[in-house]
Amino acid sequence: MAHSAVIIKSNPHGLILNLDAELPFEELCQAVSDKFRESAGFFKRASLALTFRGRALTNEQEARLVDEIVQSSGIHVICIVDESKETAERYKKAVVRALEQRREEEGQFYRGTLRSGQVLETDSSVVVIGDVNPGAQIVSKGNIVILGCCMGNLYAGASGNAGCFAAALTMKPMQVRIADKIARSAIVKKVDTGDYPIDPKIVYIKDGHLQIKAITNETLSDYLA
Amino acid sequence: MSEVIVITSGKGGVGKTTSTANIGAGLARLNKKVVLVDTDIGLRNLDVVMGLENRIIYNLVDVVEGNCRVKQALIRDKHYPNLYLLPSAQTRDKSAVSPEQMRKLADSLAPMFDYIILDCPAGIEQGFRNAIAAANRALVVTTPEVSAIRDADRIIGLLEVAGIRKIDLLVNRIRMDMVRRGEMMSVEDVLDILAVSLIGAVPDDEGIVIASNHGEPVVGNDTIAGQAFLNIARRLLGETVPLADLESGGTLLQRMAALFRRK
Repeated sequence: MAHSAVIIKSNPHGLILNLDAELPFEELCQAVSDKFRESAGFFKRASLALTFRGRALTNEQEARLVDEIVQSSGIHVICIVDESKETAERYKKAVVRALEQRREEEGQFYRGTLRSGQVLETDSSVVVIGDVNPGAQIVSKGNIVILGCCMGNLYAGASGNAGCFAAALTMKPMQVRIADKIARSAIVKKVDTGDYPIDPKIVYIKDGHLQIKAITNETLSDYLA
Repeated sequence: MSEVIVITSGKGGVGKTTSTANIGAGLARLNKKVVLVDTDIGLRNLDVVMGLENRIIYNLVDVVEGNCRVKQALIRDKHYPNLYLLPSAQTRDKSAVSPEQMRKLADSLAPMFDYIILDCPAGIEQGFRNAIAAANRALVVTTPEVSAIRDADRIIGLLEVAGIRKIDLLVNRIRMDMVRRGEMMSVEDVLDILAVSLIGAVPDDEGIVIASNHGEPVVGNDTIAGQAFLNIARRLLGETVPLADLESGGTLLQRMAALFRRK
C-alpha cells in the first residue's frame, strides 16, 4: 500500500481522520480499528471531538467507525464535527456545548459521603447519594436532596431564593439555612449514639419561618401550596 | 491588661482541648471575662467539647480575613455568660492564618476580656507557631507517659526560645492506683524530668469523657477532676491552693501538698 488507509491528525479540540476514498468500507474499518488500538495508551480515556475527511460516509458508516474507535482505544467521543462547517471556532463551540450538556445531565448528583471540612457548592439543585457528616457543608443555589443521613450544615437557596427546600432521609443537621433564614439543631447528646433511624424530612420556609417536617402527603401539599 | 495563655502539649490526645474548655469555664466561674480561641484550623474540636458546634456562623479565619467583625464570630457559652468561644474554621488549614495575624487578633480581643486562652493544635508546625505568637503565658499539658513527656520537653524548649517566660505544667490523666503500684510515673517524677512549675494534676476520670461527649465542662462539679480544674483556674488567678487530693484519703495528699509548698 502506497499510503496508509487512515491518517490521524489532531487540533486542540479533537482529531481529524483522513480516510482513504477507495478502500472498501470493511477494510477501512479494520484499518481505523488497528490504528487506534496501537495508540490506545496515548489517548488513555480522553474526551475528544472527531472529524472525518476524505470520504463521504453515511450515518451508519459514521456510527460504525465511531464504535470501532471507542472499542479499540477507549476514547470518549463527545461529538462529531461536520467537515464542511469545520473551523477552529465552531469546533471549540461544539466541544464546549457538548461538555456543558454532559455536566448538566450529571452535575447535580454527588456520589459519596461528604466528610467534615468538605464543602459542596452548586449553582443548581443537588442530590447527594451518601451521608453528610458533621462539619461538612452543602451550599446550593437551588434545592438539596440527601439520600442518606444529614448531620452537617445545609444552605439551600444560597442566592436568596426563599422557595427552595432541603430534604434528607435522616435529617439531623447542625444548621440549616434557606435564603436568609437559619435554624440550628438542639444538641441532645445524652442519648446520641449517632445511630439514627430513617425518617425522611423536608425543610422549607413557611410564613417567614423554617419548618422541618416529616415527608407526608400533607407536608408536601403544604409546601407546594 | 488581659493575659493571653496558650494551652499546648506537642503530643496529641493528652487533653489540651478538654483542659482549655474546663479552665476557661473555671475562670468564668470565678467571674473573669474569658474568651477561648480554637487555633486548630481544619480540625476544630473545642466547639464540640463545649457543645456550641451548632451555633457557629463565622470563625477565626473569617475574622482574620475581614469577612466579619470579631464580635460577630464570638459565641457565648451556654452555662457561663462571661465565657466566649471564637471557633476555628473547618474547611481551611493552618496556612490560612499567620503569626502576625494572630497577634493582631489577640490585640483586638484584649480590651474585651480578662483572659484570652488559645487552644493549640498538636505538633510544632505552623499551627503551633500561630498559637504561641500572641501568648505571654503557656500551660503545657502532658500525661504521665514517656512519649508525652518527651514532646512536652521539646515544647517547653520551643516556648523558651519564643520568649515565653511563664510556663506551667499540667499533668493530666494521672491514675493513682497505677502510680501506687509503680506502673505509672507520679507527678513528682514528671516534674523531676521537666523542671517547670506545676499548676495542677488532673486524675483520669470517666466523667470527663462523658461530659465532653455531652458538650459540658466538668469544672466545679463534685468529681475530683472537676475540682482539680477549678483549682487550676484559681492558681492561674494567683491564689495559693493546695493540690487536691487525687484519691480520697491517703498519704499521697501530704506528699503532694509538701511538694507544692516547697516551690
